[in-house]
Parts: sequence; C-alpha cells; structure tokens
Amino acid sequence: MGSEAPGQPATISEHWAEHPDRALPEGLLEFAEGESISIELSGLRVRLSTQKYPDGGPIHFHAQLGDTLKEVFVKASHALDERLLPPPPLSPLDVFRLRRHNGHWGDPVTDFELPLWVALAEGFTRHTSIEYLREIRINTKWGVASKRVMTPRELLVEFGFNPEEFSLYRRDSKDALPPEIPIELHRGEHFEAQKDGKYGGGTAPSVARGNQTIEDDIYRLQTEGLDLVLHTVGSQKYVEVRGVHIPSPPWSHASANIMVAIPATYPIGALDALYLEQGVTQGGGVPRAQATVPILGRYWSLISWHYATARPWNPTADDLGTHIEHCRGYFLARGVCQ
Amino acid sequence: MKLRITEDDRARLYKYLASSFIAKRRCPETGCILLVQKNESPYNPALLVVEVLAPASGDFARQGAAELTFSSGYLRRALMEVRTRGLSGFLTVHTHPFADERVGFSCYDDANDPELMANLYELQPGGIFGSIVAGKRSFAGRLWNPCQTCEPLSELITVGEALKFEPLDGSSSPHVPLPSAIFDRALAVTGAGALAKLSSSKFGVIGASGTGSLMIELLMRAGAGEILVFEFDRADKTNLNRVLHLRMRDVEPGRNKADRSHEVVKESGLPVKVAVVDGGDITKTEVAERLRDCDFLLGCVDRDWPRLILSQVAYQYLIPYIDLGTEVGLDNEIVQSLDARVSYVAPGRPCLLCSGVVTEERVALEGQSEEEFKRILSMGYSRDFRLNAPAVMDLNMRAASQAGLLLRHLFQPFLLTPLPHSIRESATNFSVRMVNHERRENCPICGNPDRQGSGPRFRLMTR
Repeated sequence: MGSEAPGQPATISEHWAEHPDRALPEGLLEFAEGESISIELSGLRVRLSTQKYPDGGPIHFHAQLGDTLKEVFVKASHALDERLLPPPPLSPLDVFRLRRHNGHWGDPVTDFELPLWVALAEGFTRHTSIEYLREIRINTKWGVASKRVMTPRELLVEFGFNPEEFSLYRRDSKDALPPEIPIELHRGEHFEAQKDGKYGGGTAPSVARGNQTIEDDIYRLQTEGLDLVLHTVGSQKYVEVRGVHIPSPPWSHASANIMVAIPATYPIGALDALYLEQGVTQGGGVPRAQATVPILGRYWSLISWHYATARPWNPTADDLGTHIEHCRGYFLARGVCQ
Repeated sequence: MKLRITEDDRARLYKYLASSFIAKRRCPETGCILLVQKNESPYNPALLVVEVLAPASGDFARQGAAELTFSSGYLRRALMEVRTRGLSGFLTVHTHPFADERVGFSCYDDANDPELMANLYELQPGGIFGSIVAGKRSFAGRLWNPCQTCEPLSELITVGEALKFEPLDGSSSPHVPLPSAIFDRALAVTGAGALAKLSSSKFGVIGASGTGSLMIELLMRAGAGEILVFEFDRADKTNLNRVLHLRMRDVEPGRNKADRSHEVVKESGLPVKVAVVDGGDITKTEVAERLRDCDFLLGCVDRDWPRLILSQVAYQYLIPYIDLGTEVGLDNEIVQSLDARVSYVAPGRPCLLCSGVVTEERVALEGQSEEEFKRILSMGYSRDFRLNAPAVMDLNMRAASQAGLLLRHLFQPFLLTPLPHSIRESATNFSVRMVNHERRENCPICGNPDRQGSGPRFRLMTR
C-alpha cells in the first residue's frame, strides 16, 4: 500500500479507504477471484456511510475490509445511534442494505457472514442503509408487528398465541390489556402473554428494616451525603462518621469525627455509645468519656451515651442513620444517658 | 421434594378447598395458588409455602364439577407476587371433588399442565412451578421442569402445634414400615407412624455440652433417623461434671465436645446416623447454612446469638425448633433458684426475642469483638451478662427430659394443647409451669410476616 497519485487508477490504499466513492481497486477484484486477502488488507479500516432507510441523512463510520456484513451492520447501527433489535445474541430483524453502483439499493442482506471486501468485489458500494422495523417482544419471542396500531388479540394471533387461552400484559403489569381495544405499538416494546390454567383442570425486593446489613445502611447514608467509612479491625467492624457538625462553642471545634462499634449481630444487635476522636473538647475536657483507646492508629474516647430504658434500640425502626442522630444528641446535650 | 407449610396456611388451604367436599352435594372443582420459596439445601431440599394466595371473584374463568380454569389474571397476580417479592415460584392447587382417599391428576390435567408450565417458565426463567390436586383426604403433587418433565412432590409437612405429615403421592396415609423390636416399649408414646417419621427425620443438635449430650442420647434411643451435631468447643475438665459419656481421657487431647457423643452413638449399634458438622459454630455463615439440612432443631446452647439464628432458621425455613436452657441462680454463693426451661419455637408462635429468652442487649454484646466486649463490660452497662455460669447435669436432665417428651408429642400428640410457649421448671419450688408470651409489636423475627417461609430471602444474622 502507498499513497495514490491523482489521476492514476485506484489502488488499495489508505486514500482509497477514506473515500467511499472511489472506484473499486483492481487488486481487490483479483483477490476476490482468489477468495482470500492478506491479513494486512483484511485489517484495513475503510470509511463507509450509512443512513436510515429510505431517506435518512448519511453518517460516516469505519469498518475493516475483513469484517463480516453482520459486523458492518452493527457498526453502522452504532453510527446511527440506534440499537438493533432483537439484541444480541439473537439475530437482528432490522433490514440492512448495500447500495449498488447504479444508485439503487440492493436486496436486504441475508448472508451476514460475507466479508465486506467480497461484497465490494461483487459490485456493492460502501454506502449502506438500515431499515428499523417495529420489533415487538412477547415472552421470549421477537417479531415485527405488521401494523402501528393493533388490538392485543391481533397481536397475540400474529405471534402465534391462541387468544382464547392467552391474555396480553405489559411487562410487570397485573392488568390484562383489553383484547379488542387497539394499542399503539412502539419499537422494542415488551409484552407478556399469560396463559390460563386449565384443570379438571426483576424487581428485587428491597431490604426490610431489621434485615439490612451495615453495608446497606452505609450505602444509603452515603447517597444522602454522609461521609462514612467502614473499618474492620480483626473481627470487629467500626463505622467512622467524618465531619459531624457540632455546636462550637461550647465545643472546641465545629465538627468531629466519631466512630461506632458495629456488632456482628447488627441490626438486631443494637448500636450503642460512640467513640470521639481525640482533639475535640468542651471546656478542656470530654464529658462522659470512659477509656481512651487506640483504634486504627488514632486515639478515641469511648463516650458513655446510651438509649433510654423506656426507649430502647428497635431493630425494625432504628439503624445506623438514627444512631448517628442519637449520637449527635450527645454534642447537643440532649438524649438520655444511663 | 418435601413441601413445608405453617399450620395457619394449612388451615387456609383447607378453607379454600372445602367447598369441593360438601357431603351429599355435587360440588364444583375449586383451587388456590401456593406461593413458594425454595430451601436450597443440597441434602434436604424443600419448598416452603410463603402464602396461600386466595382466589378472588373472577379468578376462575370456568368452574364446574369436572373442570376448573385458573384465569390468566389469577396466575398473573401470582407471578407478579413472585417477581416483586423475590420468591421462587408457585404451585397451583385444584380439587377433584369425587376423590376421597386416593386422588390423581386426570388425563385432562396431564394434557394441559405442560403448556401452562412451559408458559410460566418462559415468563419466569429460573422459577419453580408445579401443581397439586386434592381429594377429600388426599393430595398428589408434582414439580415441573423447564424441559416439561415433572418430578413428584413427596410430602406435605405442616409445622405448628404438632407436626403433620401428609403424603403427596395421591394416597391418604403413608406406608408405615413395621417398627423394630428395639422400640416396642415406646410404641404407646410414639406409635409406628410417628416412629417412622422420627426414623426418617434429621435432627440438628446445636451444642453438644451439658444439655446437648443428653439430647443426643435421648434422640438415639427414641428412634431418630439422623443426628447432625453442631459444636465448636473443646472438652475440658470443667465439662466432666455434665457432658454425658465424657471421660478424663477425652479431655486430655482437647477433643471437640461432640466427638465423644459421636463415638457413643456409633458404638450403640442403634439404627441412627450421626455426623458432626465441621467447625460447628453456627454464627458462621457456612455452618449456619447446614441448619437448613435439618427437619428439626434442638438448641442446646448458652448464648443468645446462636439462639437468635436458630429462631430465624425456624421461621424462614419452617423448621420446628426446641430450645433448652437451665440456670442456677446464686446470691452470695447460696442457691436461690434451679430453673430448667424448654421453649418451642415454630411459625405462628412467639420467638425467643418475644419470650425474653434472647435479649437484644446480649445479642449486641455477643456480636462484639473480645476487646470491644471488655470495654463495654468495663463501662458497667451490661445488666445481665454472665460468664462461666454454674451448671449441673441433674438440672440439665430436667430440661432434656422435657424437651424429649415435647419432641415425641410433636410427632404424636399426647400433651395438653395448645402447647405453652415455654415450659419452666423450678426445681427449688418443685413446680412446673406453662408460660405464654405476648408477641412484641414489630418483632423483627416473628412479627414480620414476610420472614415466614422466606428461606434465603432474609439473611441469617451470622458473621
């Protein structure tokens, strides 16, 4: 390959590759007769155009000469910023066409395994189009709805379901669509056909209070803007709450770092008390401080700040968030200490 | 595959099906839907009935003496419950009004079920779907696979004030093998049918120390089929006063407390299998998962954390659980009380949190690391945490004996019913009392109806 001089016959060059309307290089026709091209040529990126069929504006994109038409189809759709339906690994039902040199669109591509360079050698241009159809999904079956507006009954029949035995629902809906009332169909819509039972004849559940992990609480509180870090020291977990706003005065600082010991039995095992990182004082001391202990290389005062007997920890109502509020009561000189 | 159901749900099932079996009338077929969760135990899988979904007006598209059509709306409602609640699937239940002590699926059922099940598996891949047909006194059940083959459901086990076992093979009563002569003298209390159930059940004994070693002995001699022992503690000299069969030489190498019981059961030659679970500490997730393998749990522990986990398993997996406890009350080294307690925990009954056997305070303390635990104790705000509590075999035997009788009763009732929530014996006062407890409002264990039969949907409170 090399750069092409103006006026010379087309050769397989980068210049040719970047101009979709350049004539097909003779070399490529020779390769087509031999039914293979070199690895180097196969990897050559060529510029193509695509458009929504029949009259969309052209968009350019690149593919490799060795790409299959399916790969080119996917790249073209990506360039048009549309999803092919049905999604992989199913084969798309949308229609892919290549333009012939006479300016007419070819028949819809059916042999998607054909390499691009063979298609070009067979007389197609580098101009492509995609006809996006009204693909609908019912249960696991994808199909193209024949009309824009159809009754659920017609749709069931079209997809091979017996409307006497099946009712049509929108995905995750409990309410059956009235069989005779027409609905407007949109590309990509998902319906479910639910059968009657003859005899004779995701959504993930949310974590209920009392069943959540400390990680669940931390995640939720972090999304609410709290600066929380989970530490694990041996078998013990601690949650550090950074920058808790506290009134100053009387406290020496306007914010404090606190830490809460988390029992492995949380949340039925209650949270209680708090650790206050050294440095924050009130009148030179720390009220209700018990021992000072090193945790994670920093010094913390264990604060004896507990729930009232009349209002004990309730695992179905309390959590890390409410406990942090309870701890703030210490700084605000509220709450109950036993 | 077994199907477990609570007594309340079994009663609801009966209520919804009863209209097909009114004497001397030509009754229509009827039915309902059982929402289920799967116990994925590899050794003892079961389906757990989470809820009996009652039919509403219009839920049967056709209903006659020989036909019943579940409307797509009814099935859809069940499917949406499965999706939104994260359940495993559901079973349709319909009646054959003319069937009494034997029932089976009709040719019509056989012709239509595969298409319905294929549709359900298409809508909910990975789900579990099946069907049950009910006669007046019999059930037949089957579980369908996505490939449209089915396997029979084996047994409907009702868990509540008593354990009720109903075959799902279309017959009204299970085949009962002749009992071995070993158990002749016990047949008055535990008849052949109950003995057959005992011998096909797996009992989890959690704790093999004072009360646990006694329970293992009682189970072995009652005719239990299999005992799974959970114990992590090493035997030491202080255990010799109360661990059955433990010898001085067992203490020396520091063997697991359960090893000696294991040996004794093996040497007995009695028809019982025994296994000790590796690790044995049920506060560890992988060990607690083995609790699902059991048909019955006997808690012989002295800590609240494992008791809490056992309560969770009882509700979530519909596995009945008897908890044993003893306490020697001392005041200045003078015996004030000698108490033995047995509590029966099952769906529909208050849990150990509600009965005060387990407290959140002790659960919280037991969940702390050793250092944190010491700090908390040093702050002096543990109100009732006891270390090295005194214990004697004599008292443990009272609890084990009560538990053994209670267990037999559950398989073949002979005790006064309804059963009290706990049986408490005060040896110092020569009194045995029935104790009942109020359910706490919003109890996280037994006050949450979603937990019942939820299997793995709720995590166990393990490490």
